[in-house]
Amino acid sequence: MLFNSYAFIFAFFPIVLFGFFLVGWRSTRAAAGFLALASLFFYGWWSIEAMPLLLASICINYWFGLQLTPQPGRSDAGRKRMLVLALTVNLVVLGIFKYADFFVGNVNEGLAAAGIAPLPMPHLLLPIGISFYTFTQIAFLVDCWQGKVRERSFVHYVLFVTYFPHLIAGPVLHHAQMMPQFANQATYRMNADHIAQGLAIFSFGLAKKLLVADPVGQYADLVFHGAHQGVAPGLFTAWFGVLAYTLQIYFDFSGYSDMAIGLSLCFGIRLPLNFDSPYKSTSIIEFWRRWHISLSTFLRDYLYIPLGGNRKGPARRHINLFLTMLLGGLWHGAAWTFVIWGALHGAFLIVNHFWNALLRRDAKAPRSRIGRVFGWLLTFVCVMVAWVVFRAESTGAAMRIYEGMLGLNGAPLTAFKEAYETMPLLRKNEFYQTMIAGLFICLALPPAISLVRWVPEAQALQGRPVLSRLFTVGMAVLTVTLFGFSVSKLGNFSPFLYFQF
Amino acid sequence: MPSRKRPAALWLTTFLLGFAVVCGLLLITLFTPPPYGDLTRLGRVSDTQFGWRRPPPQVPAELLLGSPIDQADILVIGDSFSMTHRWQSVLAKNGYRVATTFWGQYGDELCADFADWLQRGGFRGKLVILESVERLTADRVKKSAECKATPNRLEAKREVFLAPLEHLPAFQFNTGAPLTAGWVTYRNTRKVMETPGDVPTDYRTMAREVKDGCSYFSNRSCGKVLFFTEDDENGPLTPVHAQLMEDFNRAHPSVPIMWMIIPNKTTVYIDPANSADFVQAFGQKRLGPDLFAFAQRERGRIMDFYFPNDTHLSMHGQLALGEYMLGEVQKRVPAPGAKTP
Repeated sequence: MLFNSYAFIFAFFPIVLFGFFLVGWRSTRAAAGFLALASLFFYGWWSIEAMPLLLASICINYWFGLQLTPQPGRSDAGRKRMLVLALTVNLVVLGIFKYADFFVGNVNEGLAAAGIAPLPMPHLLLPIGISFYTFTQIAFLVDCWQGKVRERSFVHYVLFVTYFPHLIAGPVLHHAQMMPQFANQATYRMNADHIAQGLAIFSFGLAKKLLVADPVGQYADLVFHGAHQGVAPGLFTAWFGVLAYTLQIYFDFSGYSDMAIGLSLCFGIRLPLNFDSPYKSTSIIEFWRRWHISLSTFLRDYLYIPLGGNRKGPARRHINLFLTMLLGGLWHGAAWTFVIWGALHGAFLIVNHFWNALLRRDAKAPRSRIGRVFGWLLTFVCVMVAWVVFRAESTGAAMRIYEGMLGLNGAPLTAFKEAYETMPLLRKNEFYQTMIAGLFICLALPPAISLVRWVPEAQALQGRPVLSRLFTVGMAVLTVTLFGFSVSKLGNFSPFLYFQF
Repeated sequence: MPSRKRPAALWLTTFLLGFAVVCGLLLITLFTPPPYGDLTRLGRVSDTQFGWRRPPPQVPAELLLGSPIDQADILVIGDSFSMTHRWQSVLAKNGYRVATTFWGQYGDELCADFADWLQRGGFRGKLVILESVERLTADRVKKSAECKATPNRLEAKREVFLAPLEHLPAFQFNTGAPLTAGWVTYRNTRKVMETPGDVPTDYRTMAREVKDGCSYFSNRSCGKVLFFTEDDENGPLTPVHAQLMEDFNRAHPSVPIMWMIIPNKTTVYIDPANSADFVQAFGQKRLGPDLFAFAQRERGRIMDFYFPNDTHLSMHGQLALGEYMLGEVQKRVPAPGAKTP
């Protein structure tokens, strides 16, 4: 079930929200169980085949967690062996389902070069959300081993892993952020402020997805798919195509995160901020503090720091940084394009750290306006360049787009004039308008989470009751209008099928 | 704390009122059956009033399977009127092996290299039928007269490109439509029903009064039928277009060509004199069968000769067209031996 579907918006979510508080009114433990069951239903709607793996993963990791917790009579060495076993089990399962085809495919290329018969490809179905729930639980296990958590409630643990707002695409949750909220009695009592704020954030997230990400995404798909099919984009087509994808991935992913945060807030549970206007960043270091924050934090805490972080000198720090980004790239998908994307960002970060160390002695000192503008532009271009290889369906397609960006495929003054089969179905003016609106939103407006300052009432107007009430009504009308416009995009207007021929 | 509750209640009340409106729109859309005609879909008009109700004829599946190009007696280069393989099925039933491909695959142009292009594509049959609907023919013959090399290799799939409905669709919830589709459909349908005369609806679609419409069409509101405004916008065909067709034939003397120009729905039911000069020139030059006269005869004989909610011939019309084309083809290519289904 997608957040942006009729079934979710008009049936699943209202029923679960109402049921949660109704049950919570009688029993908080039952309400947590109800929410966990609803989350499993949500997951099962996506993929019933993947449900046994999720349930097995939850049960075994809960047991591992109990065994890893320091207790009298448990030796550190024994717990460490148990941790290694638990991590191995999780990573092997993730590896088999997510990376087996990638691994066997690469081995087969080597075998083919040596004239040896290839191995059969496993072609396992990737269980949805496996990366997110595996990483969430790895963090839990490490924290158990370090003695930071001591979880006893199985229901709360199931809810922590399966909690439907984050289950499919994050944010990657940390045990310490969630468990106290599940244990808090106030969570199970309806809070009108939270519901209003949650609905507002959800509506804005939905609008980001349906009114910006999807329309510009058509153009990104056109250019990237065309490149994969052999169409060489000209200078402007390539840059507009990459810009379209740059906007699509931000509005899609941050829109999803906003929806997750908003939905969760309706239940009185706060999820961590995942995107903090990343395209406003004036350096790559800053970009990674603002982009997919929950994953960056995870990689920092459970990969970069255990590798040694910056504690073993500058050279080792750069190696650790590069390795972390490389593995972060691979986390996104089993393909060399993701590895290259991670490597590119690793290289950008190293250059950024070199720059700070060598030329900006006082890195915390404010930069000039020109310096900030130049830094922003360079950062934005670097991020765009890296998105090419992230989105491309093959390295060949990525190279074709890079050639286009360099003007090697010509520079006709009109964009999207290449031989794209589906072009007549799209509307170019709408694309440019949406692109400008998207750039304005991500570069000039605050993130959607800031809505808590204006919903249900503007904090700045608290001393002016009439104005405050007008603002409250206006904001609700704006939100529900945006919601209505977004929902109106859920169905598809079918173009005249025969026009294709 | 109480002072904090009131703004939240006000905000939620306002939001929920809007949400109720959205839910209302959604319910209307859900209970508006999904359109099953191109014109009801584009014009966003109700199929309950404008959809055909006469059950379509059944055609055995084996007659709908096209022939590979290199084994075909007849190659049809057509458009959407040939995509269901229904009219070709009559030829197939009578033993002809028919391969079908589409103008759209070649940029709507067949160029100076046409004969070589056919040969390179593997066609060694006895007849090429160039099928084109009236409203798109002018553009196709003009482009064909100007181009040198036909884009793309000749290719034909054996399966039908578009599978028409086999039965009148049963009620189903309209879950794939935009939120406002139900309301817009209701509003457009009501406007059409309540306004006398011709009524434009959405996207190049118009509901027009047809004299004796109920003797031609099976839809509930049979006094009015939907038409595609492009039929009028593209203008009539003229003798110049017939001349371009003749020039094309002369440029490829080794290829036996039959032009098959299917009249627009508007020409058949509203303005039979549209393209009259072209029809006369077309007949004089013996370029192909006169489907304009054929359509005038059949529209009164076959209920839903054209669909009331679509620009195309119905499957009943398609089979009648197939019978007529069979006669024309037999004059040029002897029947290889009839098959029974």
